[in-house]
Amino acid sequence: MREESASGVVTSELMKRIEEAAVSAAREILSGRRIIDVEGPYGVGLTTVEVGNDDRCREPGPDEASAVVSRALSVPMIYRRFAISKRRIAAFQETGQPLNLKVAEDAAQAVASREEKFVYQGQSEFHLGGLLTVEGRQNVNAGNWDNVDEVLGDVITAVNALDAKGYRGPYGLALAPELYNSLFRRYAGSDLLQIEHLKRLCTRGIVKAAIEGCVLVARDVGSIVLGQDLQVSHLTSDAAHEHFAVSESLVLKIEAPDAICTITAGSNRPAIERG
Amino acid sequence: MSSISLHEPAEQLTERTIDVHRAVVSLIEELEAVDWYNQRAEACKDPQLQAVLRHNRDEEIEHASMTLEWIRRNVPKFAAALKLFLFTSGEITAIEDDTKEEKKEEITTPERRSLRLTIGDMKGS
Repeated sequence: MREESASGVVTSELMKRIEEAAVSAAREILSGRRIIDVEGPYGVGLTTVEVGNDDRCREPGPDEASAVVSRALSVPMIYRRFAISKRRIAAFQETGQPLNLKVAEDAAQAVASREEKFVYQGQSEFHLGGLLTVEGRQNVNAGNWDNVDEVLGDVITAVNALDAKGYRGPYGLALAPELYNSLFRRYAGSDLLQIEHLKRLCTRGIVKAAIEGCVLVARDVGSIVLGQDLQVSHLTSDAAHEHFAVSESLVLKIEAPDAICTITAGSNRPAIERG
Repeated sequence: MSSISLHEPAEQLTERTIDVHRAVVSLIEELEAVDWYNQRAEACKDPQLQAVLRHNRDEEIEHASMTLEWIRRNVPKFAAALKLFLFTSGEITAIEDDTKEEKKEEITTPERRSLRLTIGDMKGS
């Protein structure tokens, strides 16, 4: 981190404080990292990640040379700028007044939200698959999740689908907010919350995510590969503000699409359909 | 078995921690085997047996390296430390001191700065 800027106010202590606020805010949003392995960071210079083995393009003809091709994923860089008033920083440093870092937190949450979109939705224009969109994933149609028993039944169906492909777990489950919240119900005649019950099946974790429906993943699915983990950088100064950016670079590397099972809303599920 | 050498009750540990434990115990076993084969090969008088023992030792080195690579991929702190210390030259003990010096000038070395882990893996948190 920068020791001191040309203006003399952006000290390493200030940068540390800003980055801690940013990281803390981002953690509130991030859910993919709670159920998928994370690799790296390998450095900001990481722009592509190789997936799988080098495969033959096709069987060569009798007089033709063989060729193998690697498959690479582009690593997106995500960033968001923000600025803090020089007077606010001076007030904090010189008179000990509280420093409001909401702008840094908002920028970090914007970056974290974009990371979540890459993880769950991917970016088809750049051939980046997400957990909910990648080709080759499995899918089951959900029943009516107003009925407590059907929730467990659908997740078990998804687990069975992964198990049948040889993915024995552990499993992680990400759910849309209203589905996640609906798990805080007790079984009739019991003190057991539904989410506690499901945690025994999904030992990697059950997380709330900004998605539609839900998705179950086995450990073998792949990993989130970090180039650069979320950081705050000081960019420049102007007459009134210090300018910063929150940035990170990462990509979801899906090694086994069939280790993913989406659970999508069935036609009899008005309770989870969004308006 | 690695499961009986856990230092805390298994039910209080995450799957990941137990897997890391398995890998660490495996690495210890592989490195011990390297040491054993190395000593046996050196002391052995029969040239053919000596060749077999050396071959076995080299196999164990491969096993240890594969296990270490798994640990590198799954324990970010190991990844950072191995990236710092492996395949370098000069005084090993000076590498970390050099890094501390470099931290003072991180703004001029964005590549090293970007290797910091700020959020990382959040499983279990």
